[in-house]
Amino acid sequence: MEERGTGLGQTKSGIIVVENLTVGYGETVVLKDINFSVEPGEILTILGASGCGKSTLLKAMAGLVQPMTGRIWVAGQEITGENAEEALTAARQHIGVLFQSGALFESLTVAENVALLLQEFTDLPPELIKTMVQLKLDLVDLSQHAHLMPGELSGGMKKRAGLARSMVLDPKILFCDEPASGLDPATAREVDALLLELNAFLGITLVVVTHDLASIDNLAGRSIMLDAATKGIIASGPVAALKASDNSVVRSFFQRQVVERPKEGGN
Amino acid sequence: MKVVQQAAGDAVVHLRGRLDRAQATSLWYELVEPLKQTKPPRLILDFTEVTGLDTAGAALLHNLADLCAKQGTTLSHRHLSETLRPFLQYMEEHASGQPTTWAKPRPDFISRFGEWAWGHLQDTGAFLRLLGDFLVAGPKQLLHPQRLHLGELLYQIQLVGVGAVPLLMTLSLLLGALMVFQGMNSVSNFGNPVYIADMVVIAVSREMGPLLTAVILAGRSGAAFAAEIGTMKLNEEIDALEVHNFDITGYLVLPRVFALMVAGPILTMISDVTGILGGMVTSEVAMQLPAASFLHEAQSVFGPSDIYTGLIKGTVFGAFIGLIGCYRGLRTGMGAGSVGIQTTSAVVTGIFVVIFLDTLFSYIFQMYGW
Repeated sequence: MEERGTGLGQTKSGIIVVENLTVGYGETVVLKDINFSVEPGEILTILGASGCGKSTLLKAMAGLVQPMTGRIWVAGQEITGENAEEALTAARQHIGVLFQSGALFESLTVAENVALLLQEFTDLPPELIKTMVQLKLDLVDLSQHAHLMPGELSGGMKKRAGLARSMVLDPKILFCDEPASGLDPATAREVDALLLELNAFLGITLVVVTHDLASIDNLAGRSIMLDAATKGIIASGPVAALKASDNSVVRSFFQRQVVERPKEGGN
Repeated sequence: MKVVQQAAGDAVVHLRGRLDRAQATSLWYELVEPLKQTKPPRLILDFTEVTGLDTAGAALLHNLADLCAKQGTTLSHRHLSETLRPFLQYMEEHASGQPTTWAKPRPDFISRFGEWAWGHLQDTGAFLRLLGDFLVAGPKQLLHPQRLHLGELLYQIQLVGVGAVPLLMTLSLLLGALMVFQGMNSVSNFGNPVYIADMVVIAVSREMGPLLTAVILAGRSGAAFAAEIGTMKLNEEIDALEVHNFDITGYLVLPRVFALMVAGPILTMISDVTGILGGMVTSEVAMQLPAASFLHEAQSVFGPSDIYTGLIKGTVFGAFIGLIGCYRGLRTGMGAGSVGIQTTSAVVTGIFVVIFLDTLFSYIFQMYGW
C-alpha cells in the first residue's frame, strides 16, 4: 500500500500501452489495429460478445500470444520489441494472471499451488511463506480446503485458488479472464468484491475480461468493447456512457432481452 | 531500514522505507530471529519513516506479533499512518483466520497397506467385469455385423496395425541378427553351423516374434487407448455417451480390442518372417552359411504348430493389451496427472500380463506337444 501515482514502470502514458496491435492465430486475424492504454491503479474491463477476441487480447498483454504487428508495453517493458524475451521476463515479475479455469497444477495441493511462486522466486523464510499462503487463502475463503488437490475442488473453488495464486506476489497488474464464469451469483459477487479490495488496498491495476453484466457494474472503472465484425474497439469509456451509447451493437450488449415464450400447441 | 535502541529493558525498532517482499527476508533475520533470543519485556515498532507495505510486510508483522504473544513480549505500534492502518488491519484479519492444513494427515502403515490391497482388489474386480462384458458383447457384435462400427474398426486396424509395421520389421530384423550373434559360438561346437537356423526359426516363431509384437503393441496402442479414453473421461465425453444410452463397451472398447485381435496375429507373422530373414542374412555374413542351406534347414524344422502357436498368442495378447489399455483409460480420475498415471499403467500392466500369459501358453503347448 502506498501513495498512488508512484506506480512501477510507467512509460508513454500508462502501465500498459497497446499500440496498433494486430493479433490472431495462424492466418486468421482476430483483432486489428487496437490502441489503448491503462493507468496505474485503474480498473479496465474488456467487454464483447463471445469470440470477439477478449481472451486473445488479454493473452497478448500477458505475452502468451505473439502479435502479428503492433507494440505492447507492460510495466515499462516493451514485450514485442527486439529483446522481447528479456523484456517479457522482466514484465512478468509484476503481473499475475487468473485463467478462466484456474489453471492449477494438478499434482500440488491448493496450499502448495499458492506457495510455489513464493518458494521459486523469493528467498522468504518458510514461516513467512506459510503466513502469506494462509493470508491469501483466507482472502479467497479457501483456508479450510488448503490440503485438497485440484481434482477434489469444484469449478468455483478452482477459480478462487487460481486467484490466490495469481496475486501471491502482489503483482502490479492482475489480468483476469472471465473471473465470474462458472460461479454462482453470490460467489461471483464475492470475487468482484475481492478484486475491488485488492485494487483499493494494494493499488493493483486490474484488467478484467468479462461479459457478466453484474461484474461490469460492480467493477465499474473504464471499459472497452471489442467487436468481432470490425475486429476492433467499438466503444471505450465509463460503463454508464457505454450503456447510453448511440451504437446499437454496444447498447444491445447491455440490454437484458426478454425471450418470448413460444405459443403452446403442436403434439 | 531500521535502528534498534534499548532503553530501560524495552526495545524500540524504527522501521524505514518500504516493508515489502524485497526487505522481508533481511528483516526476518535481523529482527524476528534475534527476538527469540533477547525476549525483551516490551517491543515498540515505530512506523514514522515507513513509506509502504505489502503482503510480505504484513505477514512479517503478523509473525512478529505471534512470536511476541508466545514469549510474553508486549508489542505496540507507534506512528502508524492512517494510510497504512486500514491495509494492515485488513491483512491482519485474514492472516489470523482459520489456520490452514497443508497436507492431509498421513494414515498409519496398516491403514495404508489395507487401502492399497483393497484398491488392487477392486481394480482387479473392475477389470474382470470389463472382461466379462467383452466376452458377452464381443460375440454378439460379431454375430450381428450391422452393429459393428465398421468405420471405427477399420480406422483402428490401420492405426494399430499398419502404423506399427515399419518399427516392428526393423526391430525383428535386428532381433534375428542378435540371435545369430549370440548363438553362433555355441552352435559351432556342434560342428555344423546350419543348426543356427533351427535356433532362429524356433525361437523367433514361437517366442520372440509374438513377444516383441506384444511389447510394441502395448507401448504404442495400449498407451494410446488409455490416453485417448482417459482424456475423453476428463472432458466428460464418456458421461455424454452414457447419458445418451450408448453402450461404452460396444462403442469404445470393442472396436479397439477387435482391431488388436486382427492386427496382433498379422503383425506376429510379419515379425516372424522378418526375424528369420534377419537371422538368414546375418548367418550368411557372420558364419558364411549360404542362404539356401539356412532355408533348407529352416523348412525341415518349421512345422504347423510353429505357425498356429504364434497366431494364438498374437490374438490373445492383442485382446488383453486392448482391454487393459481401454480399462486404464476408463479408470482415469480427475486431472492431467491421472491420464499420465493410467497411460503408464496400461503399458506396464500390459507387458506384465503378456509375459504371464506367454508362460502359461508355453506350459500348455508343451503339455500337448505343440
